[in-house]
Amino acid sequence: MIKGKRPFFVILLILFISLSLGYHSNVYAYYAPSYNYSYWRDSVAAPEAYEATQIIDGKSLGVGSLKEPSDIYVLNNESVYILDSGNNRIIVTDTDFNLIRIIDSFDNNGRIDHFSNPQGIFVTESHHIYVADTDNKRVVHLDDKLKAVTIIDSPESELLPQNFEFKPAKIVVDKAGRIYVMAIGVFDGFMEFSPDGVFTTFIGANRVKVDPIEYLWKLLSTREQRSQMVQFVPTEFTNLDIDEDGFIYAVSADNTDEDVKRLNAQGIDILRRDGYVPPRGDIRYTSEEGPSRLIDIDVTDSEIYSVLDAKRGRIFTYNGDGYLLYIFGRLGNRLGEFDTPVAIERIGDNFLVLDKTLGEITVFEPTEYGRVVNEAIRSYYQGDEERAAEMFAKAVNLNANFEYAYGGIGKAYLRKGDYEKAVEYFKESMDRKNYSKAYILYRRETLREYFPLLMTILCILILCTPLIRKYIWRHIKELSLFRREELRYPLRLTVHPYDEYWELKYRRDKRVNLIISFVILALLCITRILQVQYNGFLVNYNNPRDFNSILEIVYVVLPVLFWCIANWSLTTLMDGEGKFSEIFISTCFALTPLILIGIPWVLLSNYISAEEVTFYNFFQSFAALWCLYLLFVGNMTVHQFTPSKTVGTMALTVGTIGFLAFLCLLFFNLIQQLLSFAVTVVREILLRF
Amino acid sequence: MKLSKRLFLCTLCLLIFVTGCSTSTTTGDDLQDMQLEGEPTLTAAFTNPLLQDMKGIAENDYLQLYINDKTAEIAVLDKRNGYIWRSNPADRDGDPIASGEKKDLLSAQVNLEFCNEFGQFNYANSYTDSISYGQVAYTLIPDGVKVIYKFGTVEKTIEDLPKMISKERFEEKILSKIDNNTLLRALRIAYREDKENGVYVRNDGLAGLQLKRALEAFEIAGYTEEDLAYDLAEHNLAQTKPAPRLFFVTLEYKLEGDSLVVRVPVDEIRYLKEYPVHQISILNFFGAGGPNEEGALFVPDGSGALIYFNNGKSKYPPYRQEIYGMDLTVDNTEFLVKAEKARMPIFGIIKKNSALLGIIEEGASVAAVNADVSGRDNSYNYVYPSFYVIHKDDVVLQGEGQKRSFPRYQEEPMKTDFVVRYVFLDDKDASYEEMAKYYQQYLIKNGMLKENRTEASNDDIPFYLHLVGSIPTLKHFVGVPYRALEPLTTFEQAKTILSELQQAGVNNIKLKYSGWFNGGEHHKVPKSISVDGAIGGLKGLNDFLEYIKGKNISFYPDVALLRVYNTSGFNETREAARRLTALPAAVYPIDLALNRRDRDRSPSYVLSPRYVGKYVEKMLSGIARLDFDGISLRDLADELNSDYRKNNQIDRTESEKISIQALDEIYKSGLNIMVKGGNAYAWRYATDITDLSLGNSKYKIEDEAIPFYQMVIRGFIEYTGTPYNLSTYTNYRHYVLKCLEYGSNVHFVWSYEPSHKVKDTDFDYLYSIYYKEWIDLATEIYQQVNEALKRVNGQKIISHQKIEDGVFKTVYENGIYVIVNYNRTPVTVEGVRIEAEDFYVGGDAK
Repeated sequence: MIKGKRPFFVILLILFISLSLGYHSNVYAYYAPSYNYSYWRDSVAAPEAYEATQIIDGKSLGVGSLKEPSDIYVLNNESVYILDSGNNRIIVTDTDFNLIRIIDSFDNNGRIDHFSNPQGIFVTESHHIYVADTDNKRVVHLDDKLKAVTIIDSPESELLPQNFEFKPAKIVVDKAGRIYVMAIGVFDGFMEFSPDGVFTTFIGANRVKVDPIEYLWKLLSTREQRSQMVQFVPTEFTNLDIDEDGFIYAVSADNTDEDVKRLNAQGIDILRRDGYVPPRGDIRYTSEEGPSRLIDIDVTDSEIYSVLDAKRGRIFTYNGDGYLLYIFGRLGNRLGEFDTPVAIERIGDNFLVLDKTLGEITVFEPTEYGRVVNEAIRSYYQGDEERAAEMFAKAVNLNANFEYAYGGIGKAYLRKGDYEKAVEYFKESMDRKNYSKAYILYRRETLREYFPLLMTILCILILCTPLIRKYIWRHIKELSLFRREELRYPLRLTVHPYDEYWELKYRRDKRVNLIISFVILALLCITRILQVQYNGFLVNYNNPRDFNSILEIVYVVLPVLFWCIANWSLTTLMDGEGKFSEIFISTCFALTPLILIGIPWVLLSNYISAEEVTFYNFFQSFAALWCLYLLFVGNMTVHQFTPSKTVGTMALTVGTIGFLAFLCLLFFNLIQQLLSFAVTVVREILLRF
Repeated sequence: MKLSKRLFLCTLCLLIFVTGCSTSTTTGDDLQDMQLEGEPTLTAAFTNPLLQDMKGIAENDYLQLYINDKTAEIAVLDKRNGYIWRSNPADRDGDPIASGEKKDLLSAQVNLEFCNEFGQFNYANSYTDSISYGQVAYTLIPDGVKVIYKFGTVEKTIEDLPKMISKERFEEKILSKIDNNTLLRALRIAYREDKENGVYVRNDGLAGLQLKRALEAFEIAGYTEEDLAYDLAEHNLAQTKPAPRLFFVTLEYKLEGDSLVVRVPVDEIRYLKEYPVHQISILNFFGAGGPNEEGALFVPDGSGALIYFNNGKSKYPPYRQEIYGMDLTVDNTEFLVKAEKARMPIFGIIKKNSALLGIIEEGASVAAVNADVSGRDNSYNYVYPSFYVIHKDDVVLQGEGQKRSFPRYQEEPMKTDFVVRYVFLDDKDASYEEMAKYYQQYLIKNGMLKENRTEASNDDIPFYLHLVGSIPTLKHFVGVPYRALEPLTTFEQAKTILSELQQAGVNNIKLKYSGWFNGGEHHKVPKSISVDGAIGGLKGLNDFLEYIKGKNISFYPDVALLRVYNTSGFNETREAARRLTALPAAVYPIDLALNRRDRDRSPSYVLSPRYVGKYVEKMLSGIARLDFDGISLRDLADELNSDYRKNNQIDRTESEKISIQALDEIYKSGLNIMVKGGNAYAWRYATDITDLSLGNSKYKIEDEAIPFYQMVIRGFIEYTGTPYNLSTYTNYRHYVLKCLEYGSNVHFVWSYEPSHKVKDTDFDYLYSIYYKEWIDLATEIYQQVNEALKRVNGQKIISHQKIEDGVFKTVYENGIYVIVNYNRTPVTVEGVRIEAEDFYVGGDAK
């Protein structure tokens, strides 16, 4: 044993050094034009899906400069309606931006009427124009000859308060002529009006978002204090759009995962959010800048929708399942960059982005990549899987980082029966559900292929069992390694804890026990590392790029150490008989099941499907329970406690661990402050001399 | 503990304060006593009725130089067409837009940006701070004149008034001696009686007119420096007077043939230590275009861009770009701006019958070009150079939730004069084509451009292929991390790609091979060269070199020399360039979502220019045993960085010299040099330039992109843009058209392995480089471009015109021209119908 000590430590040292090496990651030498989010929520490089091609402003339209335009509407990919709010007019152009007409007044029952700072516009197939005439506090419905059909100015209903002020901002109309209005200062959702302008109901209110800390304060404060606090009200929507099936797409700047909603007729949100990241714009942002502020949404065919982030001037496009397809646009002073973007619309697959301050529209056209992705999504939506797979394959060739597309290819392989390829692609797209589906088939196929061989081996084994028993097993059993007490003892302990813990405390050599304990702890560390690195895809949720072996070791060793210290400090107060070394040994021995069950499952988990993950989880829980049971017996024996006292001690130990952790955190915080102070001082000294 | 910490802090502060006081000495007196050398007025050698206030002082065959010795403004008369170029607009007094400081600026020839005692930027211009005090002097020099400005006066400030003065003294010495009511009132405002202590206390908020009057009153009363000292001593006060903001700047104007050379000698920029001059801009309004004039400003953005006069785009920010891009040791911008760089140190103004080309001859690497249009600050359209004199950075100290920043300054001004040559082009030459031609001739004459290209003129055009050898990745074995090279293209595989490409009919291949030695794409410093085993090792390389022999493939192995991506074998503390904050210049990768530098990841380092020569030498001796005839330089002509190591600073102009020296060394070793980016100083040495801008940065204030850069170098150096498969184009035809319009060759970056090998690595920006997916399209693009450009191989571009929106005509030296149509609709030009997104090649080769 003493002889073996030195090499062991040398190996440990080498291992440790090698673990701590190599944490350099490299650098971009070149900046990608765009990005997307990976499954791991990292930003990864992507090609530009859209390229800005031209800027349209009042000058190029020949109508004088636009003043704070706030909305655009594209009708049937034929004409563009620009709501020039500051000039109280609507500019109508064709899709090549040739001026058709300017609407600055309308016929209101024989009287010429004007708009006042209108904020929203919607045009129906029959060229009826709906304008949210905000400062006039009304919604104007004009027919194709610019005669007012209805004017909604003061909606009445018992749902509305007495002094209700109607300030419509955005507006959509469904095929049946029902009008949905987003009004300023209304927190109950969109206002729905019947085609003849009668207020019917509110639809789709946002849920109240409660800040837990504020809520706590509220509970603790008196009624008077409470009345002075901010009320919890649902947030307002920022914009809305309607798709061809009459579903309303709504956005709010609420900073939740439900910022985008797809509302059905009952006002229930039915948006699917299956993507790698929730459809809410950026999910990585600095704390100073904060999350995206979504202020417009545009929905096109095939459930593809895009949202506009006003904060960073980015446009995010998602498919119906909620996968982020591409991102383009930014703030700045170059073509394709904005100052204050307020609205987006599409003409076919081209995007229009309206800039309020600059009074201009930037036109974006899809690049090869953008076209391929759009077509892939459309083909898939329409059920043309072959075409979709072809397009997805193209998308992957144009952007190897586009994980979603790998899934699309996988599906095609799955359908074609090439399960091995399908498995590979689903893994690349981190699609566990489909991976499992493909894997079951692949496994069945493989098993079928090797079935005769496997059966033959099995039969031979069965037939030869007596022989094996007699000749081979005996030899194995008699191998000196397996006969060693150091190996057999912990194994025996796991099944006969009462007897063996007794032995451990009173009979056995403590030095040997300690060594075994350390070995068990080391093995557990290795198990943990193996699990993180080699566990099967279906049960492994660790980002391989963040993998850090030292951290994993810390995750194992630290809890054990905490447990032992907490337990020891408690039991010394509670007349426990255990010494620290005994507590440590008994704890380490109790960990054996985690290794015994963990290691085989590292291997097995690579060959399971989603349904069999239950087994995996069962065995993991089983190991944990077993470990807990051993801990209990160990604790009881070591301290010579009654069972109830043991349970109590263990519960208290957990509490103490929490306390210890808190102390440590405090300590480290202080150290850190001290360090940063020292660093500042040193820097200042260096600076001055 | 808290207490002891505070105590420590206090002592430390005290210590710092004491030492800080003792080390900073003023040199104000020297500057205050300095006299303007020269004459206050000049005698005219000749006059011109058109320039009534001006005196003619120099003349040659082309030009006459006039100066107004009251306002120091100059004018140059072009004798060829009689056009007068003025340093300041003649009708500036009537400008309806400019007012206040902006209006004064219109009359200035020099504008200084300096730092005040708090490290904030302040401005001083030659009109407000020099001419209006009459502090200007002139000296005639051969063919020109030297103008010396003194900025600022030694004015009295509030600190000339005592903070406290005893009642008796105030009444006896001051009040009794003043009988003017206004002044008395001012004194009552300036000093408030403190009856308890029997003193008068100064009102520290005193400013403007009241301050002026109070100072006047004290002066009339005969209050002297001694009196002040007495009062301060009596009340135990310490009162320090801030140093006056004084500067001296000299401008030398000199006629040389058809140009005016303006020099700012850097050692004659005099300033106080307290007010370092950060930037200087000269002749902001030289040749400025008026609100009713037609013309355009030429700026060196990317391949060149035009800003039309009065384009009404003052709602966008003005144009400003630093020549040769940002200095990475100075760059503090967190935000990533994906713009093209300005790689030529030139700018210009094109008017209807005359044009002006500004060539920054000295100090280009610390220069920036600025331009703005009518409507923002004034009604003129102008373009001008500015130069950094002293760089500044802030050290931010944080502790206990407090933040303080200290300015740090470059130790000495830039070690170069700032020289701008203004070339005047007459009627027939008033276009950017002629400007480019002039610049080309100028470069050749000065040995800065040379025909280096290796193509024979009847060859096929080259196909630029960049192959990525291997990338370093981090792998784990049973939890133990190790660095491994992931081969993307081995030498053996490269042969396959090349042979497939040649079979497809692409014959003339210029192969850039990166990631081939010392650890792949992010290789270690080239102290020694060891070919990576992962892609075939030395033997693989030799086999490969053998293979390409006689196949019309030229080989350019890629090397990074200014930036260090792999820190093993590299001493960051000793060899990395330092920032002004004394930290090593680490360049962190960008997080694309945050659009900021990601400080959690490991950075690359800027190699101190000091070591560049050494590494170049070692690299050359390392590759000497390899049979290369070319080399590709990743960064030597792409970036330019300083080193602000304390007491041993290397400014950017010196760094430029080092880069040129390095290029020269490589050139002398007989290698063909392919460079990325292509800063102007590399033209003399490069045979090929890759990743050249084909267009501008698309700043909204700009109106047109022009192939100015290409017009200068075509026929001398072969070039190509960024690789098509990683660039943004709405479709491939646009790339073809761009190549034809700009006379550019085709460029791709490929690997043999599928692109998904780069997924989840630090090289994910190589997201589409699988050669199999691209080879067909690449061949097609090449054929299309080759068919047209083969006929003009090695020919200069002599003309480039915009015929209508999206339709451009490029005429080559031998008479062949290409008309490209980017539009979605066919057009008819000169009787030829050109289909949508198509081109037409016409003309006969002479």
